[in-house]
Parts: sequence; structure tokens; C-alpha cells
Amino acid sequence: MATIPTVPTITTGQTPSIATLNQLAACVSFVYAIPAFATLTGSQTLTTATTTALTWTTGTDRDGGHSNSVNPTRYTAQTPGYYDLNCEVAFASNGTGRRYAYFQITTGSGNPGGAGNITQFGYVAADPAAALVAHLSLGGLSRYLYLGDYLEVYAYQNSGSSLSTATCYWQLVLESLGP
Amino acid sequence: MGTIPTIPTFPAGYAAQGAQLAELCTAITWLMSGKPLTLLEQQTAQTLTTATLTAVTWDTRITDRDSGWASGSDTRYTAQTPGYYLLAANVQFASNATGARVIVFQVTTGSGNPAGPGVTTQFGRAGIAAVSGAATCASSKSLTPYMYDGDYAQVLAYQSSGGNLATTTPSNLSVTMASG
Repeated sequence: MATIPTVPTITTGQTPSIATLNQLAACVSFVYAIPAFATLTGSQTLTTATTTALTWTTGTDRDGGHSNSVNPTRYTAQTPGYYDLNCEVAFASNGTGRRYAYFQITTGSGNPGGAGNITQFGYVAADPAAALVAHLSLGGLSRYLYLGDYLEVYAYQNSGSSLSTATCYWQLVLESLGP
Repeated sequence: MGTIPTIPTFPAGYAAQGAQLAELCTAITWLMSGKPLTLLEQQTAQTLTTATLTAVTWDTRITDRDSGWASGSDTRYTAQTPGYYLLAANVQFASNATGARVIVFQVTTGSGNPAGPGVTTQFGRAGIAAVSGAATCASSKSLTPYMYDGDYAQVLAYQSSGGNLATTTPSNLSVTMASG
């Protein structure tokens, strides 16, 4: 979990100590270089007519929310907050059927609502034959994530046979602390 | 109107006062966890007339720190704190294979805007052909023009199926203040 600095309390008439000023500086550093930030990439083969959680490889992961070997479909919140998400899901060229993708949150045991609750959002769908595109661009703000809640990207294709993705990209950044 | 914290100034050679440093603490707290941030959903389907741009209704508030949404004006996010906002929306249209599906953001100025009220700006347009055999979902993410107190943002949706077409749920809108 990223260290969340405590904003000091300074009152009128008080001469703050160096420690207090350093505490304030730590807060500025936190805002300047958000510690919960990740860029992930991935490519895989998707079975037809099956919604599949995409697998990711870490590029940058300041907060240790992703593992290439354990649950590699997940980004697990190590720092509670709202996360800004951007994702590009790219399919290999194929004009048959439809394509869609969306984000999914699954709550962890630290969530006050209990573990295993699912929220899906950010749906994007397209007809590759009609639209002549095979790229879906997803974006949006997550709900408030508690420590241990995790995010995934699900994708679907029904071309009639297995279809590879091209390289897909997913970026996550902590947008705001506090519910 | 939302309160933007005051950033104090410290002239060279000046001994910082506790009150000013307290202001600085307030400003940092606001940046870390207090900026305007809103999540809205449409959980009840809406009927869209063919070939007509229609404001999407957001019937469910998940989070709304700055009280920019109200149930009586449920298509709008009204800026309570002036600034630039990042909007992200996705709208789901019921299964129908005919025509196009479009969403676009629109900002309408309020009476507090120097340009006067009622001036509209559209941006972030996303258009796709209808998907055959399933819901079509359009998505867009864009920064607004500078919004003054009382300016409001909406998501407009368009479909050209040839008849009325409902949305499917959920659709989502997120609003975050990007800069003052």
C-alpha cells in the first residue's frame, strides 16, 4: 500500500516545526507523483462467444497492484480511492460477429459490503464488419475501491472461432482518496 | 458554489504565519481527497426517438461530492466550482441492427458565465454503426471547456434505427474536476 501522508494540522499563531513542514512537503510530493499508477499490456487468444477476463503484463506498477504470475487478470487496489481508468482492447482483423468489452470490480474482504460483489461498467461494443474497426476504447472513473477490491477488463468476440487480440493497453491512476 | 482553497503567498524574507500554513494544509487536503468528483448511472431505461439528439437521464447518484446533480434536473451536471472537468460516459442502446449510434457531450452556459446564459458547446462526439444482435455501447471521454458556476454538462444520445429505441442499463457518467 502506498504511504498516504497525513496533512498536518497547523493553527493560527503556531510556529510549525521542521517535522511538520516535512509532513506538508510529503503531501505535496504525493499529489505531484501519485504513488498508485500502473500501465499494463497484454495479448491473448479469445474463445468465440465467451466473455473472458484479459491477462496483463506489468509495465509500470508503482503500488504493486498487479502480478504477472498470480491472478494476472487483476489489478488489486493497494491504496483505497477512486481510480481513473483507460483501456484499449484491440482485436485481430476479422469482420464477423460483434465485439465488446467492459470493466469489472470485485469487492474484497476489506470492503464494508462484503467480498465477491461485482460491478460492471464502461461497456463498449462495436460491429467490426460495419464499423471497420477492431479497437475498443474504454474509459472512466471506478467506484471507490477499498483495499483488496480488484479491477478486471472483460472482452468478448463471436467471430465463430478463436480470435487473437492485438496488443491491448490498460492504464490506471489513483484519482482521489477519500470516499 | 464549491469552495476552492486559497493558496497563500510567502514573500521572500517573510516569516510564514501559522494561519497561512493552515491554508496550505487545507489546499493540499482538497487536492488529495476533496476535489469535485461525481459518479452517475442510468438504471432505468429511457426511450430515444429516432434521428433526435436526446439528453440522457442519470437517475442514480453513486457519488456527488460537489452536489452538481439533482433529481429534478437529472440530465445535468451543474458546475458548483468553476474549472475544467473531465467527463467520461458510456451509453448502451437496445439491440437493433439499423442505423448509427452517437453520443456527444454538451455544455450549456449559465447566467454566471461572461458569455451569457444558453450558449451551447458540443464536443467529444463518438459515433458507431449499430451492432447486430446485441446492445450497442458508445463511449467517450473528454475535457470540458472552462465551466463557470452554473454552467451545466449533459450527454446527448442519438440513434437512427427508424423508430423509438430504448437504452439498456446501466449507462455511466463520471465527472472529475481536472483543473481550476
